[in-house]
Amino acid sequence: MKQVFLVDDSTTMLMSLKGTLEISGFKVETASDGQAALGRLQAGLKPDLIITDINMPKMNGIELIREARKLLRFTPILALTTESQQGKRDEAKKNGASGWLIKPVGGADLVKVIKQILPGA
Amino acid sequence: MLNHTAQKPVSLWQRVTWRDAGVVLISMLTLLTHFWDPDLMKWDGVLAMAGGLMAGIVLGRMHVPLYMKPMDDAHQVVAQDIGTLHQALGILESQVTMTIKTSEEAVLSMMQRMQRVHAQVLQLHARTMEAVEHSRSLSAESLEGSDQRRHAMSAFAEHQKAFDATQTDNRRRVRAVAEQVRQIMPLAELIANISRQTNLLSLNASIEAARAGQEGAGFKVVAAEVRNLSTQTAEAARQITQGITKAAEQIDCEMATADSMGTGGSDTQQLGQISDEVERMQRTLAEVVPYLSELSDTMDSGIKTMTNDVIETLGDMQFQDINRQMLEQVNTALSGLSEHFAQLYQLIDGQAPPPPLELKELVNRWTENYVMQSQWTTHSHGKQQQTPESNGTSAAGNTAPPLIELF
Repeated sequence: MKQVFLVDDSTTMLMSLKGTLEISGFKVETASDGQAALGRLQAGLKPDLIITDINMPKMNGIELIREARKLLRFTPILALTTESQQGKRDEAKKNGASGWLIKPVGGADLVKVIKQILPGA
Repeated sequence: MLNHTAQKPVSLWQRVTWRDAGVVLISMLTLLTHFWDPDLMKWDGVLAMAGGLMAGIVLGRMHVPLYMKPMDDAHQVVAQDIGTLHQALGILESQVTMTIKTSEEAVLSMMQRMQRVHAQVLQLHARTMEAVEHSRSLSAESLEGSDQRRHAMSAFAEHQKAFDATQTDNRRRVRAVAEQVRQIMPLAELIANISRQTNLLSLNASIEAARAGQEGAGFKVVAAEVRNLSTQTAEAARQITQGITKAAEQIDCEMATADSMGTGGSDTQQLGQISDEVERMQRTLAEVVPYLSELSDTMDSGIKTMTNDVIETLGDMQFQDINRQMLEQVNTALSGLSEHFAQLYQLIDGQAPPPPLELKELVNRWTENYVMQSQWTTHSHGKQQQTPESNGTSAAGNTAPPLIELF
């Protein structure tokens, strides 16, 4: 069973995404900010996919992507955000993001994208 | 929109203050003092005091800081900002309206999905109840048949048991007969032996008869007949032995055949009944299997539909996070407006300089905190008198990006 690591400062978002992914057959871990997420990755968590918000307290999503990429070179990292500025998108891509999704994302669409990124999911 | 109606001019008497009244009173007292005691208050003293009082009245009305613009500039600033206020409130109203609309759409979508899930549940429940009822019916039929089959099997078993007992008894008796027949074999041998002895005796008698001469002629005939009888007896013994042997072998063969067939016999009527019941069971099974298959397909399809609806409903819940961000931005903007107009109030009261930013600039700076395309869109729509390109909040560079993009 593939494992997805969700990072978002919104409890509602985490509940929504976690429910969607667990029903679809994924194992899910969560964190509520970038700093906590990085701590878990440094502690040994090795998910098959990371999905992170961009605008978060303590450590924003782009910083998390940059630091996570140093730990996990080949793990796909998706940004799931309301942010629509091209500059932020380019910065995320430059720091190692694998994709950019704008909220709200339909449950079926999200699962479809994940299955495209994770063959065998 | 502020209603700038013409204001009624204020009369002189309405502008007189207690300070003015005090000054006039002191002036009157000064004059009275001069007239009462000219040496105490001379004309130059009266004139000096009057001049000082008048200067105080004039300067006293100018109670603003020296660095303040004139009152006309303050009015201009206030008037301009109040004009912009309508636009600013329009922007915020658009954003709040969009937030409400987003909430309504998401909630309606969620309600529709839940209604669909509920309908699916009812439908599956109805099919399940139908399947239960049908299963009960099939089960009752099967039970009824099983009772009959059990009865038939029981009777058949009893009959078969009796048949087996009879068969066993028959074989036992036949074996006994075969044994008895075999027991006759030594008698046949005895007969043959007697025949051989008799034949020997007849030969001896013939010899003695020949020795006896003429007197032995009759005896010779008897001896011949005895020898003849002996021969026939031997032949009979041989045939009896052969017949007994053949009969015993036949019995053994039949016994062997009966043993190999075991209890093989059946009651045609009982088997027929059991066959009918088996056929009935097959018909029932032929009816149940496709029914259960169809039911399983229906259940799978229904559950799949419900699962998809639940997934989409969970996705709809994301509207709460979006609305939260939008309302936080509106809240921040309202705080800024509140602070700005507090400064304007102090400006009107002459106690503070104009705010550092005009309201127009403050409104433009709201876009620095925007993250969503919809915020720029409502901002542009709210500013009805300006085009998006002219106010620095251009959507250029913030054109609608694709919702999903893989790098």
